[in-house]
Amino acid sequence: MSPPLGRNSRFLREVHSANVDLTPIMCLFIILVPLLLLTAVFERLAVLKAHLPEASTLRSPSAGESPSPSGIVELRLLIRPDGLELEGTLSHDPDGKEKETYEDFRASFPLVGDRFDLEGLQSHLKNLKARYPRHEKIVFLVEDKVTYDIIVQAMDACREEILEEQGREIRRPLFPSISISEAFREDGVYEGLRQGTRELDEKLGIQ
Amino acid sequence: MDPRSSIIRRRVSGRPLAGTTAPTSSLLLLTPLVDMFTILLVFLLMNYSTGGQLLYMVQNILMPESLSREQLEPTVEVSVAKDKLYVDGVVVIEDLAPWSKPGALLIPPLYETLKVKEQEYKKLEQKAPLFHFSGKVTIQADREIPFQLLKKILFTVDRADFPQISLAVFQKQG
Repeated sequence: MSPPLGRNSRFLREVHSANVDLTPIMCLFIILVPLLLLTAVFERLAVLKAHLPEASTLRSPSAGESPSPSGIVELRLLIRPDGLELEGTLSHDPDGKEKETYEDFRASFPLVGDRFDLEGLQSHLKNLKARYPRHEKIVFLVEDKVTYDIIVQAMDACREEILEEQGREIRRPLFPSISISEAFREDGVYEGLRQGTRELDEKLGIQ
Repeated sequence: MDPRSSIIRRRVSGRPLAGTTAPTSSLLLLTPLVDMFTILLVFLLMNYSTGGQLLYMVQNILMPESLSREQLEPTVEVSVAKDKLYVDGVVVIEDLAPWSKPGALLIPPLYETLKVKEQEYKKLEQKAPLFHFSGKVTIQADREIPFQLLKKILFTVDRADFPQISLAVFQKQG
């Protein structure tokens, strides 16, 4: 015996009405997903500011010359394939008022396994920054065989320290003004400094 | 047996009842697809960038990673792959091998290209007072290139009156 048609058809209608019409949201997704895929950035880019050293930063202070007001006369990081070396000249008075109280210092950070000891370098720089908070400059003296990647990693270690406080990232600058130079040579020959551009400028018609 | 329960079973199992014809249209289950799209949409929204890319991405250059968060600016771009050198996406030196050896610091082809650009910008500066040439350059270099080559590029760029040098890097997470 067939069931009563009226009750049964109402039941079927109830089942159908439970389906939500997903067509509009599917249309929205089909437009949004390709649009966002086109504009998605998976590798975010950034820049690191670098300077070339001024001629005056590569010489030692002569007697009677007023020291840097930051207390550090010169801070240099030697980058070699076999490790890092931090050296510089400090003034005993962080305000730089006293004269002829210079102190040279040198700290070596040899390779740890096959990695550069950037953590050791950064902890040393933190101590230095605590003593001389106003100093911002550091000169990199890089040897020819060192790769660009190592220079960028060393720049990261010198620029700022990253702290985490209560789940928030705090960046505290160390020595953000970085000049990149070639390492001193024993023979003291620097071809580039002697090389002029006059011929090339004349060729291009530049006065 | 209650006929309603057999109909429910049929709808759940999707099989027609014995003696009846199969339905001509079947219901497409869109729920998993909508779930997938929702996850994809959230992921893509997290990676959405309104800034856009301000760099000619040259092939065969794997830039180093850095913790820097400084944003790129539109500038003249010098791209250094392992074998080629580009300025604003145009090849300037086809083979960098001779420049990777010890020798003179100045790279004449790069100097000439940059100097021509500098002269163009200076002319533009005279014509358009709102335009200001600041001597900015972005260097996009492969992480494996030696300092032997990099120092020549830095030196040449500086000599061509582009003293404000930025090094392009990939942002390191964490």
